[in-house]
Amino acid sequence: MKYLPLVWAGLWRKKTRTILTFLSVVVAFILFGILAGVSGGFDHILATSRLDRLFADPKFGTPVPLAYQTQIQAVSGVKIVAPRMGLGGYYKEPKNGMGVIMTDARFFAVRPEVLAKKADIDAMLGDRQGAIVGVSLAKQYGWKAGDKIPLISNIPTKDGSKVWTFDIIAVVDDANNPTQSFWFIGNYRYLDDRRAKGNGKSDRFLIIIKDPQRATQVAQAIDNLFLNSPYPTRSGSERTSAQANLRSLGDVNFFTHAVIGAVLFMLLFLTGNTMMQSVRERIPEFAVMKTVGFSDGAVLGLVLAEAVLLCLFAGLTGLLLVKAIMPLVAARSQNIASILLLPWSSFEFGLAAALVMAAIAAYFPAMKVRRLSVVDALRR
Amino acid sequence: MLKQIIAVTAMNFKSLKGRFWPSLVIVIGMACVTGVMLSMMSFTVGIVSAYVGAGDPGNAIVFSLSAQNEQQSNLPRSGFATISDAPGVAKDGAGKPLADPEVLINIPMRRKLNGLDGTMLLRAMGPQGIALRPDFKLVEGRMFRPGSRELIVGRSAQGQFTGTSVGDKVTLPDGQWPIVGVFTTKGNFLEGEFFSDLDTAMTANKKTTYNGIQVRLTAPSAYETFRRAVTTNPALPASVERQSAYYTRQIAQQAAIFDGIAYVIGAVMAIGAMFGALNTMYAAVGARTREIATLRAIGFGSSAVIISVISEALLLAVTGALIGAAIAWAMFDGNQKAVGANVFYMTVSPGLVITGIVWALVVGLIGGLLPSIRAARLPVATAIRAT
Repeated sequence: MKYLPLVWAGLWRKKTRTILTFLSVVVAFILFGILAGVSGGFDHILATSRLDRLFADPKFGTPVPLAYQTQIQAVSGVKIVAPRMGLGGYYKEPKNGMGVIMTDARFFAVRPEVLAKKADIDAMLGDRQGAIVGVSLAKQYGWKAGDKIPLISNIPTKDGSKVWTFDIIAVVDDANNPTQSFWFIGNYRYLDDRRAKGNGKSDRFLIIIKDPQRATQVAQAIDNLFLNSPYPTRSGSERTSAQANLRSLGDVNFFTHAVIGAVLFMLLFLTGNTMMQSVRERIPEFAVMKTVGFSDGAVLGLVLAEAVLLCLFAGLTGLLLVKAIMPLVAARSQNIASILLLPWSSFEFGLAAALVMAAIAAYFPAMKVRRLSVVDALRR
Repeated sequence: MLKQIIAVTAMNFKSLKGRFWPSLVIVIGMACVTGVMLSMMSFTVGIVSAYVGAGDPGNAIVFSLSAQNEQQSNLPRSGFATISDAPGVAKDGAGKPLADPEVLINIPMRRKLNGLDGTMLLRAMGPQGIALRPDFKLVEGRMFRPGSRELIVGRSAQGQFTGTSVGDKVTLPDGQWPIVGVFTTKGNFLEGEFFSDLDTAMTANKKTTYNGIQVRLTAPSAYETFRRAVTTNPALPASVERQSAYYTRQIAQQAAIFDGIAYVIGAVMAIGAMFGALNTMYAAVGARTREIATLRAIGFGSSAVIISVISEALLLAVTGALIGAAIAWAMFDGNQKAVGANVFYMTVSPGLVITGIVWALVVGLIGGLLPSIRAARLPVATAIRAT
């Protein structure tokens, strides 16, 4: 610790060089932070998707009979079954597209992360047009409890009107994604009473099972029930479905790792070059230090410490900047908010990477100083 | 003046060998930037060309009113005769209109890569369907027979999904359909799909409406005539779009997002590389203080010095960009990818390489400018004595 001033002085010997190196490491770690944030966001999606929650979806996309719920409920290992049907529409303008989940009380039992109070759920069920919406969605359009919200949907209705009016009963948060709740939940019977086609059909059954270990078997048992019917199902746990969805975006993990790898490789040369230049200029100084009694190991340590200090400090600055900026970005775009998440734990990995990178980069310059022969160096 | 510039620049390049390691920082930095950016953009180029390649300005596509794409559209069967007889529709040798209704069906499949669930599209087409797809070529097995419950599969799809060989069976709502042939469509997105007979597939899926009607126009210029004829007919609640415009629109938004990500990552990395370039060039100028001062003393102009330093930075950056482009090309060009139901080939196009070079020129210019100005401003008298 007592050498810290010495390391510090070494770093600031040439201000321009140190600042430029510092800035490039900061920029690289901003990128590192963003990419780690994307990885973190995907991990979070996987972590909050439950293995004991199954989705039974129509195998060929055409909604399946609502009556399936009784048969699914009877499958051994099934706890709760909640049917739902999506109502696609928009608010005021087609660009404000949204999907309303038309369901019933069981949905809230299957998705406890929707933080709706018992009284609100009851109130929603009591009002055919009642709806519970997420805090973020409500904030986005300036809705509050008590508002009447008209949505335009193109599905055929018995009365011919395209307008669906919802009474907002409550605005609720999501336990898995605090402040990022985009739910819009309405009554299935409102949909079925009004629609002209497709009545008594569901586009997904959400199922809670007793034993998460038996997810595959239960899903198989459900699919077997309807295998030879005109409307077969395709079931699987929420976890598997999330994995398949994320993978279908492309191999995001490979991508983030490849970019992080390229960035660190670039930094390796950059920092290595800086340290080499700095060491070369200070050869006489190091010779003097060795003469007055600094050991080979000590001078080696000093050079390594300079590189490590610079990179750790720059890395931390970059990561903190990302952490600070992320909420601002998230506030502007819900799409980004849902995939960006930089947990403090990725700081550990980031700083470790900075440390290793700095140590490798400074290795050759440091060895040069260690091997330095005092007599030769002083003669220069 | 020009002579001076050439002389100083040549001298610079000759002394580059002595500054090998520091110069490598610019080369490697720029190689990383372009390597990453072009790899990402080759993805977009691939997916866009898979769509653009499938579209023909001489074809039109008819949807139901207010549908944004084929999937959302449902056209009643009754309108087909009117649409195929509309003015502007081309006729084949036998005098039959080149118009064909299509139905799209999602088929659950398993991905080869990871065994996870995926979806493929079955495009069921009528008698003129193949005639409307001039890129279509059957490369293995035989064609599906009208009225038979059988499929043919695209070559690209075979690379991505299991159970897609000739003889394999695919589960449809009414049972197992065998795959009887394999086709190619010059690598465009249709090659990631199944094709089958229209009526059989509609019965199997209990579909009563078409997703879209593909039409060959007598000439690309006949589009307006055809569009007006269809859209002004009150009996036809339908909309018309040029096929090429439709396919481009389908992918434009996705492509913009992918390209946006590539640009942001590329820009952040380029800023990092730029600081590295500045560092290297300041060091290069510093090491040559005496040399530059001497040149100035014997009458070389400051602009010659500035240009020589900048051209060194540019040369190093462009070299790096070319290396990065070569790496991206070697690693990814021609790789097959599947995103959702789209199968396509990543492409490092000449246009991308030019983008990489342009970025390198910008980074090199900025990285060389400030150090070159410092070099030109050196007070000759003191600099010449520098050690």
